[in-house]
Amino acid sequence: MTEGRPVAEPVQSIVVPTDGSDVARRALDHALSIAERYDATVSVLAVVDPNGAALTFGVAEVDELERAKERLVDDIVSTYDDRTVDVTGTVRRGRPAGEILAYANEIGTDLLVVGRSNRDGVTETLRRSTTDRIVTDTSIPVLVVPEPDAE
Amino acid sequence: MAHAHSVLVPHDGSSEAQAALQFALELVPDARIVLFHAIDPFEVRPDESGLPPATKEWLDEQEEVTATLLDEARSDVDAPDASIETATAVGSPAQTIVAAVDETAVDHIVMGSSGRAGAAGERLGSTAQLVVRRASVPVTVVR
Repeated sequence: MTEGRPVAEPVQSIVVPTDGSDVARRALDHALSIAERYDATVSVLAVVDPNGAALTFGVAEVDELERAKERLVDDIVSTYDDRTVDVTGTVRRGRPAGEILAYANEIGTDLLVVGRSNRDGVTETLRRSTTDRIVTDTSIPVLVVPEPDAE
Repeated sequence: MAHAHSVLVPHDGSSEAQAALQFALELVPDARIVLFHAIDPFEVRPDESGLPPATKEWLDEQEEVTATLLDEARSDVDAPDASIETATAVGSPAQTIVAAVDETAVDHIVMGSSGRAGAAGERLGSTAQLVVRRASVPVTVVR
């Protein structure tokens, strides 16, 4: 039955960026269900963007942001402690899309799973969202999970 | 939460689309796959001048071309056990793909980043871009 199929599982490593939003959580749920199926590892990544606010943050604020992101990632990882999937967390500094793709390439991931908030559509003419940039700028397959429609 | 069981794979005959089909089969091996092609009345092809005539004959011919395209795509994958259906619609690719989600009851889209209409060097085709932004289900973009 498996004749002709690649011997290796198609997905062994999945990267899921998170900013703590509900849509990022939905993306993580998707990633976990795929990871369970293939016994893949899931790397949750939060990025501290020192230039993310209207005013550039100072050193103290960036450190504080970084600690907050570390708590976020730790919380997520401990939530999934009892799952069969190996979930790890990482915090990096930089521009979100670029940092996410750099990390994905470094660990040689097979799949990126990212959330898409409906706001992205509204602001699409003003600025490209991180999700947009990721989908455009990588050769790694990207699974984009939408926010559920407000009904 | 359940993983995707029904996957829509838009196919325009390009190698990118074929790679997406292959990826869908690997990602969700027991899925029901719906191979989809949009007949676009406004597609401008390099070998033709102007828009095609919107006649019944043209549509019949397009439907035949589409059937061949989808049959070839289906027979070119190495998945003898896969359940692959086909579906078509007339209209702009992005709009018909987004609408086909409900019509074909799929819970996931897997598509190539750019198809045969993509400009050289373009990293994300306009169809993939629109589908990623508008689809109500998860979309996996494959290169």
